[in-house]
Amino acid sequence: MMDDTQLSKELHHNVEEIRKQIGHSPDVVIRSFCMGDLAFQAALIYIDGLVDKLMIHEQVLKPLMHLAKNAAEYDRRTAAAEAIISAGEVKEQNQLAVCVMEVLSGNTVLLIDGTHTAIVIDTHGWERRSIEEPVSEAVVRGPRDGFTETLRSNTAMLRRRIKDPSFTMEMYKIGRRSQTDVAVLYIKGLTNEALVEETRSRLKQIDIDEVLESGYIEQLVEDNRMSPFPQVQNTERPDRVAGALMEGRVAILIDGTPIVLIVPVTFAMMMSSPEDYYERWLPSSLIRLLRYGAAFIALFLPSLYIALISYNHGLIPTKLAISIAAGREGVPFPSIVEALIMEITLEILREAGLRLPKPIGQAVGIVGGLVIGQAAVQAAIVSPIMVIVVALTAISSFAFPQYGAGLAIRILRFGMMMAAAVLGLYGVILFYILITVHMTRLKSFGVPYLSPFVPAHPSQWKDLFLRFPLHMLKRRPAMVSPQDDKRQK
Amino acid sequence: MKTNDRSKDSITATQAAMMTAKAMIGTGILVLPQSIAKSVETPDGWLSVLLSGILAMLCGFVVVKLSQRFPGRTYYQYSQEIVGKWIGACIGAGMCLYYIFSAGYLLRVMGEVVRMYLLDKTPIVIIMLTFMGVAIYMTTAGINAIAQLIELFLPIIILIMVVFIIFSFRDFELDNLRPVLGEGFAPVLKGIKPSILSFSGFEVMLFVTAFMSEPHKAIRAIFAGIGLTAVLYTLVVAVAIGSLTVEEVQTVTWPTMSVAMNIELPGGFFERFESLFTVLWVISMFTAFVLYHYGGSLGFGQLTGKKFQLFAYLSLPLIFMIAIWPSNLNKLFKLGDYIGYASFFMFGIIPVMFLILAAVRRAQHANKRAQ
Repeated sequence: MMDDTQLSKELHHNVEEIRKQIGHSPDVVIRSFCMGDLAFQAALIYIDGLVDKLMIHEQVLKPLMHLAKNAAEYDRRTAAAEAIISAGEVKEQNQLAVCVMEVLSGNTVLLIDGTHTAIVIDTHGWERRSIEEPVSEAVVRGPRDGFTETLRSNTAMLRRRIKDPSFTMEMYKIGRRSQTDVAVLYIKGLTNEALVEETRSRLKQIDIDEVLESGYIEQLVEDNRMSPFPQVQNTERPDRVAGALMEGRVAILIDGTPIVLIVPVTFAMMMSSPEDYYERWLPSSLIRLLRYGAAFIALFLPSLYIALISYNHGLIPTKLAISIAAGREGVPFPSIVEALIMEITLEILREAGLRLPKPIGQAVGIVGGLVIGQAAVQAAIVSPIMVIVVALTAISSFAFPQYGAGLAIRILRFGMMMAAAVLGLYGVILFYILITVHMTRLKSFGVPYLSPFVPAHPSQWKDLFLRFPLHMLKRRPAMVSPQDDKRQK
Repeated sequence: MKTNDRSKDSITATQAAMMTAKAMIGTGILVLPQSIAKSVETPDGWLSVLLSGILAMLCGFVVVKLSQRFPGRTYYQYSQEIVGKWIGACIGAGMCLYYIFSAGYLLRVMGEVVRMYLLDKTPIVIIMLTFMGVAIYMTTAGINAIAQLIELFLPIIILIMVVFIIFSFRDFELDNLRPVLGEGFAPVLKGIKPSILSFSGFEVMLFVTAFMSEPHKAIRAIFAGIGLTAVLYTLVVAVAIGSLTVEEVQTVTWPTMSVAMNIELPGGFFERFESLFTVLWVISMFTAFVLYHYGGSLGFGQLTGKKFQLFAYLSLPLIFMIAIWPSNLNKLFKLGDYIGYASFFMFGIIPVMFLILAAVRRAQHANKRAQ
């Protein structure tokens, strides 16, 4: 851990020590100067690019050099300096390692000759992206602002939504080298204390070099690493986080990424969008049902096709069976190969479209989809029905409001297709049972993944497949055991 | 967390009722109409089923009363206290073996039905092995996860049955069920034996009660579970006889499936309802299998003081061997009958004796204390 060497009284000694630790990088600025007519030697240390230079100049350097006249009235040199500096946030520090850390995180350290104490001035001021519309979670109705890479402006966005004095924020530094700021947010007196404690202890157990994105934290705190399902919700929508906090969940914000984590998460949450609560209840409920239907299609359709074609064609109505057979005439492959060709092509198209610059990406999507589909049918590599199946599956898998849940379904779809290829409909049902068994075993921060389906809380089913009118949703979700479960009277 | 800490095993009364029902609804639905029709020989089989349901409730009452005397402990643990260490252990081991045999029997029936209606060319061994592979993943998760799975699946199973019953009413002719009691009450009594056998399964309450968060609701749970099963069974037998006639039900192997064959779903999107029914029935078979498998492994675990997961793995080869043992369907059904007899002895007679013994013991204790 950090060594606790104290600062010495000698200015040049301190400067040398700090130099030794940070190195001679050109972005480290050490400005030596004389404090007014007092003739104290002093030095400002900061990192160019992380600080607000104008602020240092106007509020620190200028007063120190010109106004430091009656400093002799103060008994300590640092007190004099503190009186003169007009910047907002100032604190004293006398550990060398802490000073170095403050410099590295964008603060300015003022060292004065003849004292053990340094002054740390908050001068954060780096280039930041402005607030934009969230890319991955679009809504038609709802706020348009999304999180940015700056932790402080993200917390501010939440503060603006929740003006509750018991809205609590705990700060941690995670990453031995990256020292990333991590904030744990919850509402005191509402969120279950045990859940907050669990979050704290899981965060404290993390011992890793760097945290570049919230995904690092997500993967290190999740319950089951082998599961295809995400066990932590991630979002870039402040309204979603505010909603989750109000339900008694805990949010984890990480500096340097617009993606915020929410725990605990359930499968039902993956299927809901903030917009469900903004639109009126009838359309919202129907759209939710539609999403569950889409999930079913995205998971089952290709494997049902395979199972029905290769094992149980008796189940298809005769007329349809004839037209399918006619379409498959000339296709040399068994249905599983046919399905894999199309599904894998589609996955490649999707990945390629995602990585390319936006205008080209769209072109690739359209060209790939239309041309390959049409050409493959004409070349009798796949049947037209297969193209329909794949297209429907792809569209359905885009209907998830959560990218992570969609990923899980994509993986499971291939498993399901294999099961269907080997064991037909029996394989499909067995694989479905396997997924369900896995989900009953799965927990997110101690909360069963399938709640409130099971363990059954029938009173909570008002906000599940259907979203009942708001005035009927009087209680917060029981699965997170909030201390205060009344939402409205 | 207060309510979310499920590391401690605790299941609700609803879950217990569902588990009781699920342990009974498995193979019974498929084979019961035939065995009833064979022994009753009149269309009154459904009456026998209803009567047996009431008898099963009596047995269930005894089972729960016995378990409630030993709160927080399973049959495997308290039987040693009632009749001494060795006899108790023997009875416990017998119950474990019963579960292992039940699981094996169920596995084979499932395999046969799937082979018959879904996968005629796939070796039955593959069907059974994959099934067990998924089951072990569930069993080792313990009773809470099992209870949740059943809570999730039982409504689906009931829905399938309701759809089945509603759509088979097209071929249903009330005349096939007449005359009611045409030959008096004697045939109905003859049907009680085969139908009471298909009610075996309620005895899961011998260990489920120990895990209940509110054990005083166990009576209500077991009555609800048996009642639900009795209604379903009665309807299935009535529907089978009503749409196929007694004579036909006697001759076909899987009468329920034969009824399903005649069903046509509206809209004509799915033909062959029996295949669809089989697919969905695998869910039902799975949940019942997991319960038996868990019951057996838990027993071995508690008798030897080791983790039940170990025995869940160890018992798989045994279950598999039992499943492939009968060389044909007749022998399979014979095995089913023997399992039924064993269950009648173990869960109809022994619990009554235990209950009396336990009451006597307690009275003696009370006397001693009084002196």
